[in-house]
Amino acid sequence: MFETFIAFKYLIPKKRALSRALISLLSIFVISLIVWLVLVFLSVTNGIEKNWIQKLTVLNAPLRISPTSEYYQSPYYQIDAHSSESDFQYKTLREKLLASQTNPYQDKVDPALPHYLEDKEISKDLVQSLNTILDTEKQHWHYFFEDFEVSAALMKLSVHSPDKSHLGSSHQAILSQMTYLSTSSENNPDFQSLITPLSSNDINLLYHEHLNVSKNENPTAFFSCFNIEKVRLSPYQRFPKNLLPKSYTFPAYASIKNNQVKSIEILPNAIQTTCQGRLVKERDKFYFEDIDHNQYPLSEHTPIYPSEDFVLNVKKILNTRVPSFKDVFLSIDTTIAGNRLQGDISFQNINIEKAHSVKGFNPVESRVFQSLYPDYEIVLAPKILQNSGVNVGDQGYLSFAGQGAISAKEHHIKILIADFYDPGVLPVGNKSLIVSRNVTQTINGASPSFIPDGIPVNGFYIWTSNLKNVPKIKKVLQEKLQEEGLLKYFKIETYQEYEFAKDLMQQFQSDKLLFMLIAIIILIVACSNIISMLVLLVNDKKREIALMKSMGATKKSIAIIFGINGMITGLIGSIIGIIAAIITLNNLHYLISFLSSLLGHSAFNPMFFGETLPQSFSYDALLFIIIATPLLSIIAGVIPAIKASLTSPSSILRSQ
Amino acid sequence: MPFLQAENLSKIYYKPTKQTLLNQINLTVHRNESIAIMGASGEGKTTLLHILGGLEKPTDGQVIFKDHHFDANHPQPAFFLNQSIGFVFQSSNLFEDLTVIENILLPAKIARRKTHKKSESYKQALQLLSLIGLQDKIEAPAKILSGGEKQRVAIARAFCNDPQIILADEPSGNLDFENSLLIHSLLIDCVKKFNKSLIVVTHDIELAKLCNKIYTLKSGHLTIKTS
Repeated sequence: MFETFIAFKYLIPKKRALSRALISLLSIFVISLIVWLVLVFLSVTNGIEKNWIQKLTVLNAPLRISPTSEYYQSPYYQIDAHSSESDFQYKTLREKLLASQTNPYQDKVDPALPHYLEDKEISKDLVQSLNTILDTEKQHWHYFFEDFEVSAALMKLSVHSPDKSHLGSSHQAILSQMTYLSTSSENNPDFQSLITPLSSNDINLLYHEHLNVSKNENPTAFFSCFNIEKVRLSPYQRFPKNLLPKSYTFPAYASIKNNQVKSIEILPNAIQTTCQGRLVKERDKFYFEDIDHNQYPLSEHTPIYPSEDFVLNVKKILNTRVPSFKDVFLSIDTTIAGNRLQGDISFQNINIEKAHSVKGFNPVESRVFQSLYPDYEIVLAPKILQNSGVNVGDQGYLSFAGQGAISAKEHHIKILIADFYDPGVLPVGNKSLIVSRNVTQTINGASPSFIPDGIPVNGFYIWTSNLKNVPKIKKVLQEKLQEEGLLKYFKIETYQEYEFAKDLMQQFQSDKLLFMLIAIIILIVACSNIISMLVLLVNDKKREIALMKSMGATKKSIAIIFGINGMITGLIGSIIGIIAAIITLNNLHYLISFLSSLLGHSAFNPMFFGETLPQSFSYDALLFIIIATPLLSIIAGVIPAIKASLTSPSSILRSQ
Repeated sequence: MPFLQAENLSKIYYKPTKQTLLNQINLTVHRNESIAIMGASGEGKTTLLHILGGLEKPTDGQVIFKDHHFDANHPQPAFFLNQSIGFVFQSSNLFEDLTVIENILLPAKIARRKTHKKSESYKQALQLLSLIGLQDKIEAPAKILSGGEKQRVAIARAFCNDPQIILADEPSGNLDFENSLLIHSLLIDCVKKFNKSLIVVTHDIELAKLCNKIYTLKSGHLTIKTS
């Protein structure tokens, strides 16, 4: 096609048309910059949103079924408060599921019913029916479901903050805040991903806390939760001599009194000459030799201390099924300063240097773990509390009011922080503890009227890995509930409808929209560069346009030539921008660390965004770029193209 | 039989003041006939040529070309310019960034004819190139050619789509004497060889003499000089 032929000839920059080439380059640069910005920004927003939704749907499930007020007013729910069988207490959904009778009221035993419950038929077990529906549909949609409970209480935590200036001392503070309590769920498939993995230090803290708080040591439970890889011997802790080989030499200090060695301190990593001497054991001789080669014989009972921390590799843990940690032995195999240390040492009072929890470890759900702290309720704290100095192993209590016989009475539940979890970016997330069902049942049982911030206190969560199915599942369940006549008792909501998520969800949408608008405006500005470039080109090529017309080129052809020019400029810009964006997104952490080093602090709050800025390539943005940029460039090209096509050839060709 | 006919052609400019450039001009060109239009500068020779070739609209009157009537409201369509008319202008006729052969083949490209090396148009272009004696500069960019060579390429291009009439506007206006002679003979030879009609606007009496008829345009009136 002759239009493309000419258009491509015009695209190649010429020395004669330097200014035009510069403007072309500038417009390509600006367009690619905008394309890059749009793609990177939207991909990061997309990533944050996905990340956020993922956290939201892991913790709170993408679908939630909660009882309506109709349910709470129904005789089915109310009857429990009047039945001795139910201890005159309302029942949660789980308790209803486990209840043996739909109607626990017994005419002969129980007090008379209030008139609004009199003669009411309670034939249908609402919760059981709902459970059956959920169970049936589960086969088809492959989801997991479980009931949840939410509650609230005043949390008081005693926080140890080690004070570095005073060796060994630490001051204690009480952290006190109103807290939501959510139940952890066994059926939640991805819950593990939210829990911060316990560090070796955390496990060490939990071990020592267990020794502190529990009257009965429970090595069996401890070792079924944690694997120990390395332990640390501290200075002033007697070195277990059974680890030492038959003959060895260690650089050492000796405290000598009346030519008698009282104790030996070994310095495995010190250079021989800087030491006072060395500890030598040969086949039948055991002595300390100072730098002047004076030898001091030692007895087998001379205590040896490490002068610094000794890290020992644990090969195997022996006999864990014993009542006390002092009977647990670690099989050690470590080489220090050329001496191979081998043997068994007792686990008692040792510091754990490297350890990890067993796969799938969830302290709230693990009964074995709970047995380590029998007097405590194990809770997971939101990770933001780490900023307030809360550590794994910290203890405190939850305080709530219970209705006593005469007046409200304060009750306490002792808690122990076993780990931290990531609540995502929910506004209430930072104030939510994850607790076992006992806690919520106890608190809700004590004061059943509590409903925090419109969040349902009881309901079912439904987890599915494919979020696209969520609206479909909702529709199907709604239809089933309708069929069973349960729709007025239960409300089904998707994650987009959650009261605490709605605002943020809209915020994300409007942020994106706003940015898109800004991007379009900047793109228009960038594309207007194309206009000036093309106007220059048209002026430059006036005579050639007239010649083409004299050869019979139509107005359309002329317009197409300049349109193609504009479009290709836009296209080159977008391609460069897209490539740059892909490279940037793949190396985002470098960019962030660079920005952070420029700013002198973390450029993006890791609490909010996670360690690396999440990103997920935004195909919507790519589509937007692929459509918008050439379109805008064509529009930008049209104005000069029309100008070009309207040039009268006669006037140009006559001027010589 | 008249091939191209101008009937009562008028061109009146209203800006800056009313000026009648062409006044009721009648002209008939027969097939294979070559005519020269002479006249002083500013008498409207080029305007007349452009109106005849459809590059400009007349104020009044009509052009009848191959039994088609064109006037101010019905201008010649683009394909007419492409297929039936070959223009040669005074200077800057060529696309500087294209090669000689690309320049010659441009009308064929505009006509959407095939222009690859085995195509008819290409063979024809080679023939034209040998006619103008530039076979050795076939792939040379137009910008390195001399003025005379450029005009020769322009003439070759005018013949590319095998038009019926060649309209030439001072084809040797910017050239030295020798080159002018070369261009004159080339133009006339080609017209005769390919059996084309020719209208040439010129100051050059030598070129005019080579034509069948010479017209003089003065004060908007066209008069025949000799036959």
